[in-house]
Amino acid sequence: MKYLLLLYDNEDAWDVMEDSKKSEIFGAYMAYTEALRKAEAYYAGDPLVHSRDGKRVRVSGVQDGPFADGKEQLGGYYMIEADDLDEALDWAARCPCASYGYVEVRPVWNIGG
Amino acid sequence: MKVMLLANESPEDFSLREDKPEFDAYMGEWYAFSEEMSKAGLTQSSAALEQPSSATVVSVRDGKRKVEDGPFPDTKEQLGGFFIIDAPDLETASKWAAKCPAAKNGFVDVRPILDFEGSES
Amino acid sequence: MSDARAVAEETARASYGRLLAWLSARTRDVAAAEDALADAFRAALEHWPEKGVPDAPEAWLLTAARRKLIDRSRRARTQADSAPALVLAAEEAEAAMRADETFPDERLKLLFICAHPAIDPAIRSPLMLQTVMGLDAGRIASAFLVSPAAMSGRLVRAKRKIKAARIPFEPPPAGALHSRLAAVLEAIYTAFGAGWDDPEDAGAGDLTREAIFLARLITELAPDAAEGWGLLALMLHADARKPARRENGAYVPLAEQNIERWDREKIAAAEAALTKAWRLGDAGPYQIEAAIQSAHNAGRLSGRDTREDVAMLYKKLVELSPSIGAQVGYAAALANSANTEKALTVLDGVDLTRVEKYQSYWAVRAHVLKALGFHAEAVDAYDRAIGLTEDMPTRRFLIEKKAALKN
Repeated sequence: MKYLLLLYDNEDAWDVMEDSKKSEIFGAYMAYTEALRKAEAYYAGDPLVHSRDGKRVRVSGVQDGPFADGKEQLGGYYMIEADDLDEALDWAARCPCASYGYVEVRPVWNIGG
Repeated sequence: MKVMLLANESPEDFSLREDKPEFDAYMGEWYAFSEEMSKAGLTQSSAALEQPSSATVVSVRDGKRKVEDGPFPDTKEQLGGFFIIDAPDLETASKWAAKCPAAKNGFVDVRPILDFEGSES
Repeated sequence: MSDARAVAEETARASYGRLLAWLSARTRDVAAAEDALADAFRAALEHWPEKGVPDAPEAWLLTAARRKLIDRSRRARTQADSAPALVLAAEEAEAAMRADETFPDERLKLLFICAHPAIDPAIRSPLMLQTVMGLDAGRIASAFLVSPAAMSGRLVRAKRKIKAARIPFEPPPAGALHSRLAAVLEAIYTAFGAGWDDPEDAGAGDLTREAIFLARLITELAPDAAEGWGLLALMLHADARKPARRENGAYVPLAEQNIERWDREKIAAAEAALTKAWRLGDAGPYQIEAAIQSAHNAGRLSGRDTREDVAMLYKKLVELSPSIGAQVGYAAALANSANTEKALTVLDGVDLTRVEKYQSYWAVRAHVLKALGFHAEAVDAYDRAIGLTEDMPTRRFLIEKKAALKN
């Protein structure tokens, strides 16, 4: 069964982060992605640009980012395969983002199945 | 550019997914939108998500795992699905977002995907 | 309640939970399984007390439920509908019953699901009472002081999550067993508390019997878990004194209770459970709390002074789990064993922001201040305790204490 991992963190922290710290985190993500692939649990994953470069679209109009939803913003996602929620939670806990932000685990809707 | 469209639906829209007569009409709108985007050669991948109440939130602090009933934050509109598209620019992506069924009673976030060197396309 | 009725209800409950666990584990659809069993369970509660419990209660329930299942399966419109899978699971259950005298008990898996970390802690206890014991949402709602509609909604949401997020019907892995079991026990104790706090006693809100049933179930299904035995002992001890804790509507403190009204059978059962727990050699907070209750009872029953023992046990409890309740209990025990000054030190050490709404802290503090001769401060503490009290007898008791102080 497919699960979507939504990675939330304080996106402003990246603006002031030292390069050495950034590359350490990038390295952690590379290793994590590799572990997902090796376990044949990886479908997809992408990091997102800061929400100030995004837009929020309603039929009534478009609002420019950043969005004042709270301190934490969506910073990326992974789509993974897991047998059940416990296995998905194990992968979520291993994701680097879980250690400085949080990871929301959402089951993918298997429509009609 | 690669862009993620995040369809945030209202509670009313989510409730249409339950065994209701309006279900077919609700799904019909989504199928139509999805097909239109595919025909335009935009969609790279997409998925619909289960109800927000099925969300679980995980964090790790001081080596200890914390698991909680989600979703976070507990706002009115919640993520119901997403599309990864390849659009010429943000403007075009936003125009497509406005056609998304979720934009009527909820909203669609248009978020460019980070394209750093060495990444796979 | 007549014995026949009690036996019938207990058997119906056990059979219901076992069948629901079986059907849910195979379909992951707790709500659909509940729906399939609802009429059969209702019929059992009606017929069994009068006509006697059938030899194979699960088979009886299953036969009564099957027609409804097949009916639903025929009407199933979508692939997502669990009815066909439920029919298969029911057939499998029948085969298992024919092949074997005993029907496999998977209620422990269901208990673990109800207290899964991904399930909102506030709904775990209600979820157990509904799924494992078949209690209706209305009765659960009245015990937890919420409206039936709100309780139903939250229960539906939790069951939907179990299905949609695919929470596994498996016992937790060895590494997580301890914490997962603790969550199950906590939810059971919450149910007991919801019953205990019910000022009317034995009304619709009294869940103490149900909580004891669940704890006993844990000791049967996970007999190596020392804290399961500890929790059972703790609740039995408290329950044994329940008939004596009020007289003519007035609250009676333990030291003044009429021990003739204590339930000796329950006290013996509690002692037996506690002995089993100690033998497993894995001490935990519930066992210590049960030992405290045991010492209280022994003190009254034998006339022996156990106040020092109680204070020592509380000290151990604070070390194991430094909750506000444990600290306040420790202070009260110190005050009772003539260590009043030390009791005040313990109370002074508690973070005040955490006791703004904690009645016992102020009641004990008032008592300690009074014993030390700080009457003005004691009056203030009594006022705070009175202001935070929920039930009338306790309120009256504290008002009398405060009045005595002023004279």
